[in-house]
Amino acid sequence: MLLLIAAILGTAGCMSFGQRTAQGTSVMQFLYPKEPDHIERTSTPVLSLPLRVGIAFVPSGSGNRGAWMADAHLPEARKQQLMKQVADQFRELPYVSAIEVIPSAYLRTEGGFENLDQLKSMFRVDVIALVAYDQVQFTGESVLSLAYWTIVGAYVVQGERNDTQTLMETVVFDVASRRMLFRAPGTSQVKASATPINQSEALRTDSGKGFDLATTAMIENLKGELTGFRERIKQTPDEIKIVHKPGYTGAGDFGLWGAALLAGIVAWAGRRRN
Amino acid sequence: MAARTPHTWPWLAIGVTILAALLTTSDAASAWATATRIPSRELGLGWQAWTTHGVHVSALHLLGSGLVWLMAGAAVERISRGSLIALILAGAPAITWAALVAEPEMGSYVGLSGLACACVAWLACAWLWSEQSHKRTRLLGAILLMAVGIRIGCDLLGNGRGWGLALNEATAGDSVRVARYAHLAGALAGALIWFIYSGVQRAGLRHSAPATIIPPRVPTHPTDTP
Repeated sequence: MLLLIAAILGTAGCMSFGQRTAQGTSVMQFLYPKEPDHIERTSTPVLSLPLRVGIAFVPSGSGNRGAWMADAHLPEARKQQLMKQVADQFRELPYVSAIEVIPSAYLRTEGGFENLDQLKSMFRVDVIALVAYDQVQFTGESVLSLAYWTIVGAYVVQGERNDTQTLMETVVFDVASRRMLFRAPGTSQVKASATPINQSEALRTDSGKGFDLATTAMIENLKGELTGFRERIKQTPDEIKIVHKPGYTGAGDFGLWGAALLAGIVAWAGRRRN
Repeated sequence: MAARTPHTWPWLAIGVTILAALLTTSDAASAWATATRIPSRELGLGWQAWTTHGVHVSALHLLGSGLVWLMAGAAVERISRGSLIALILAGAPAITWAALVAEPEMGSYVGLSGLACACVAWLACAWLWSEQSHKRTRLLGAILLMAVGIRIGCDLLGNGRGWGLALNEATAGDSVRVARYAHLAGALAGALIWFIYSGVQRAGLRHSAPATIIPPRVPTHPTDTP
C-alpha cells in the first residue's frame, strides 16, 4: 500500500515538473554583440527611391540566451521559404525596385552593422529586413500519464502536454543611417498532447505549426506597417528624406481641384453665352 | 481647318480620353506607350512621344488630368478642330521632348496634363485676346491664364512633390515625381499655336470659319458688343 501511494505521488511529482526547450535568434544580439549598452549614432535616413531591399535571417548563435543554439526546427530551406513570404510583401510596393533574399551563409554570427554594411555593398541594397525568431516549448505530463503504468498506455494514451510559443519578427533597417525604419512582430501559441513514444515527432510538428501561425501573424502586421510607413513619410517628411534615383517617372497633374475649377469656369462661360 | 459649327461634337478630345483610359488600364500597353530616354541621352522617341501622354500612374491621376483634358480639349475643338489637331501633332512631342530635356534624370514622362495645359493655355489666350471676346470672356481668360501660371509656379517650386491628390499619393513613396517643366512646355505650346492660328485667321488665310470664341448663339446682353 505504501509503495502504491509512493508511486502515485511520484507520478504526480512528474506531472508538476515540465521541460523547457528554447531556440531563437536576436536582432539586438546580432547588431550589438559586444557592447549591449552601446548606442549607435544615427542620422536622418535618406531613402533613394525606388528602393532595393535585402531580406536576411538573423544567424543562429545570435540568441538572447548567450549560448549557441542550433536551428533544430528551422532548417535553411524553411528559412528561405519564410523570407520569400516576407519578400512577397515588399514586391507589391511600387517604390521597391528589387528584392534580394540573402542566404544565411552571408551573415556572420554577431556580425553587427559591419556585416550589414558588407551586405549593402555586396548585394547593392538600400535597406535590410532582418527576420528573427524566438520559440519556447514547454512539455509536461497530465493525469492521463498514469496510464503509462500499463505499458500499452505509453503507446496509445496522449498524456504528454506540449505548449509551443513562437515569436517571429521582421525589423527593417536603413543601413546607411543605422536607423530602424519599422518592425513587424507575429506571435503564436500551439497547445497539443502526445504519447511518450511520438513526443519528439509531435514537438517538431508543433514547432512547424507555431512558425506557420507566427509567420502569418507577422505578415499581416508587416502589411500594416508598410502602409503605416508610407503614411509616416507623407506626414513627417523631415523624419525620413526621400530622394529619387535617376530614371524616375515624371508626371503632371491638375488634380480634381483643377478639374473642378476649370469646370466652374467653363460652366460660367456657357451660362454667360446662353 | 474645316469649318465647324458651335455644335461640333468634340470627337477628337473624347477619342484621346478613351485611348488614355485604355493605355492606363493595361500594364503592357503602358509599358509599350511610355516615352523613355535611352542611356546615351539621345531621346528614344518614336510614337511614344505621343502615346506617353495617354499613360497615367493611377486611376486618380487619369481622372484628374483626363477631366481637364476633356473639358479644355472639347472647348478648343468646338472652336477650332484644326488647332486641337495641331496641339496633338506638334504640341505632344514638344512637351515630351521639353520635359525630358529639362530634367535629364527623369526616365520617362507620362500623363495628359501637359496636353491639357496646352489646351487650357490656348483657350485662355483665345478668350483673352480674341477680337470677338467680350469683357466677361476676357476676364475668364485672364482667370484661366492666372490659374495656369499658378499651377506652373507650384510645379517649379514644389520640389518634385505632387500638388494634386493623385500625385501626392504617388510621389509620397513611389518612383514618381512631378515633371516640373511639362506644364510650362504645354502652356507655351498652347499659346504659340493660338497665336499662329490667330495670325492665320487675321491674315485671311482661313480654311475654317472665323474663330468664334465661346461660340455665341445670339449676343443679347448689352455688354456683348465686341
